[in-house]
Amino acid sequence: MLRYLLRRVLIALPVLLGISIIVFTLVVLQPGDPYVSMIDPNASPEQKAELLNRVGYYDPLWVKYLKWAGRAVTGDLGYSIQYGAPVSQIVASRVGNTVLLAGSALAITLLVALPVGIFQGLRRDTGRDLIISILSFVALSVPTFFLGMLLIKIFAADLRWLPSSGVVTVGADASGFAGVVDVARHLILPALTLATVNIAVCSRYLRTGVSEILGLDFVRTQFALGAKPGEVLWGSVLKNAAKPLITIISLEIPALLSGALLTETVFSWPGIGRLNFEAVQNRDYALLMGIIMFLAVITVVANLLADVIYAIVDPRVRVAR
Amino acid sequence: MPSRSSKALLAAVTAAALLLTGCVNTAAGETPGTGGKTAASANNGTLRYAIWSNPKGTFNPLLYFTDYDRAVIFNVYSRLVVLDEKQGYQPSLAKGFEYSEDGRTLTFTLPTDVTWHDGKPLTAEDVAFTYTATADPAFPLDTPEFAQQLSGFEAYHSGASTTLEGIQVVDPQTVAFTFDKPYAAALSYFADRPVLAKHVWEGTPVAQWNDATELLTHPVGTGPFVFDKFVSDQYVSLTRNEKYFGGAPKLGSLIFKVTNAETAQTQLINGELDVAELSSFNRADLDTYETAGVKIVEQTGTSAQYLTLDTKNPKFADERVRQAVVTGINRQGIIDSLLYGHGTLFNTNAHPKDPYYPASGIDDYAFDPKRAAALLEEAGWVDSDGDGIREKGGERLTLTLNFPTGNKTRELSAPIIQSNLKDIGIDVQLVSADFNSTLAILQNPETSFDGVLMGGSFRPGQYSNNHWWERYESPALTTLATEFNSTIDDSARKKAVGEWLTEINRIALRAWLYIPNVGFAVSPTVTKFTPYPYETFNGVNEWTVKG
Repeated sequence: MLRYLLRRVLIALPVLLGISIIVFTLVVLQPGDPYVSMIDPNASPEQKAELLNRVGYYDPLWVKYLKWAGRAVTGDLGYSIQYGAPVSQIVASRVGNTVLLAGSALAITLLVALPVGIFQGLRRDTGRDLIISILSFVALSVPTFFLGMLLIKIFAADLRWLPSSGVVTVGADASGFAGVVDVARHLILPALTLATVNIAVCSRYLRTGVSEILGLDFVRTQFALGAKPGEVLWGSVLKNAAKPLITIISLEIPALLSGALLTETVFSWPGIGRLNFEAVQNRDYALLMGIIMFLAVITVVANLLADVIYAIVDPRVRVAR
Repeated sequence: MPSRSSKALLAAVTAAALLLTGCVNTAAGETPGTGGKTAASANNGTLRYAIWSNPKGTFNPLLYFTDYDRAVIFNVYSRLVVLDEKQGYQPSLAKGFEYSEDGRTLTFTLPTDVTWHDGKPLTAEDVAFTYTATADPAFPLDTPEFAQQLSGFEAYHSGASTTLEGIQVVDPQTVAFTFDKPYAAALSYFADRPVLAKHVWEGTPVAQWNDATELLTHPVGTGPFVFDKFVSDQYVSLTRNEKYFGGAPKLGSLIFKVTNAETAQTQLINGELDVAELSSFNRADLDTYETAGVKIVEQTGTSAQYLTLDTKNPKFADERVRQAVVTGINRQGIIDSLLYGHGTLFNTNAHPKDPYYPASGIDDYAFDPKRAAALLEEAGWVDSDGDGIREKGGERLTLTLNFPTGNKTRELSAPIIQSNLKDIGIDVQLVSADFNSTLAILQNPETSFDGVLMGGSFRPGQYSNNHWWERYESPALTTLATEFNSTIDDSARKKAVGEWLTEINRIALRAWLYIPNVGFAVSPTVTKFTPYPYETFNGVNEWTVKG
């Protein structure tokens, strides 16, 4: 197991290196530069050239990359051009919000999708299964931003139950329990928006998994031998049906952490997605590279984690290697 | 296992229900006061002002570059002079200012009793320190034109001299700026760049200012509000400065909330915001506001949209072709349909409300396809093959129109321009890209292009003769610019600027499009919100908001 892990980690290193080179090249080759908004539009081209020269903008691509990579391996991701603050500090200030939103959305997803998916698998092709399936397809096809706006319209504008933007009520300075409630109230709408699509996806997988395994010989044999339905369901069916979920969730974690740009934008949620988008627009190379490498590491780790969990859940995976 | 998960589900549902009902108690419009202060004149309210993008946290008056940082800076710091409603300069932090006989020296006198937010007194040293930094060779941004005009700039900037001759502290309450020649735009610079605290910034070398995160994000000023905190991508909160020289603000705190324009309407009505700039003058939107009792405050805009043409490009080198483009676009139609009439036309490189904008003698380039067609024909562009597009010497008259995304009105104006110009025989191709990429076309003097839709703000009292976006230079314009840049005599300046603007209008240096009005949606609980162009936070210390 340890050797297996070690090998996987060693494979991950060149992958990260490759990602950094490709992304860096793509980012730097974009037209435009990070200083357009910082320099007086009336400044002469010579003045601008002088400034760009001083900050190393005219260095060849590979020099720029080596400068960046040299610092990055020591853990120094540099300074954001636009914020004038260390990249790691800026990213860290947003990660908490993204984790909160993503974690809540994932929790809601599992809480709803597990019972719904299992129910559908057990009652496949009944009227209730059909109704839930239709609802799932609706959830899958409604664009996130539209759903977000719709929820804002209903719960914030019409009913005035919930706030429509931000993480806290600004100016209220709530702390302690009141602070937690305040954040939670701001969290409900974006988390629901983000969870809706995922609920539909996960419950579809579970439905298929459960109903397929129910028809397999070993399950039918257990029933034939008189095993209690509950035992078969928990002992055999779910354990097997849940396996695809491991893959889905481990792929979902990096996707959720990379920030849900649309959801974050609609709800003015200060997460990684918005930061990333802003960094691209401003050509803030240092910040952009910092975010992308952070996400690359998360993705690699999540995949690794999925492999490990698989190896634990399914002994055949371990043997095969 | 099943019981556990259903319990968790139950718990979640209960919690959600509690939260839903809990919100009734903290209902909309609640504005908690700050502390228990009971100043008779103060109402201690918290005003939440919407901003559409995160400030960069560059809360240094010399280094800021976004409007959102600027909003914070203008409330925390104060300026020597401010603009009045007629775009004249009024002393603010300075008690008074005076030009010398020869117009080269501008002297400010300062009050004796102003203190920085940390309690230290403000002196002439602070003023001298602030503006000397702009001439420093290590100044992290481009050197402002203002600094280059100061006497002794070259010596100081090149390191030959350690002192800057042009800025002299006469006594603790007096500071004098001397320029190589009269420099009338100086006041405009002072109205835009507040004074820094020397004792706060002198410990950090100028070269490192842009990376001095701690100092940048914890500004110490002399303005109406004291900086409280900046939560990146969420809000900036400021609290009342009891000792503000203009009179302590009535608001307890002023909060800039980062949010998005799409939900601002809901937030205003829901009580999550108190003031937000309008994103559209759509009748339906305005009606919704009116029904909810939200006031609309409207003023002339200061930022203009135009179509920049490459005058080095053989197709657009002929001024008649450029004049045809301006005349051929239904600019009033764009204002009427896209801005619902809430906009202004302009016909040269200045705001029509500018005191120096020529009262007569400039072409209004009113929409007239026949005139446009005649101009093109005169320039030799005729439709010889009857396909609706004009040709000259075998070349078709095409115009690739690059425009940036991000500004709804501007994006929607592109197809209108395309169809207007098609009618006079110009084949327009639309190319959109993100703002940065589009601006890069203009910023690189080597790049040739046809036309680019761009926008920019007018700055009162500043007339730039830099036309390198249009790739244009002319001795006539330069002579006039030198003339108005070397006098502070108002009537002489007015005449020279007027002639310069008239010449720019005549040669149709740009296709000037429209200046959108600026509107604010203001919660009914807010009073004394009286902005005017360039001074949104005019009289901010008088603003109130009912709790």
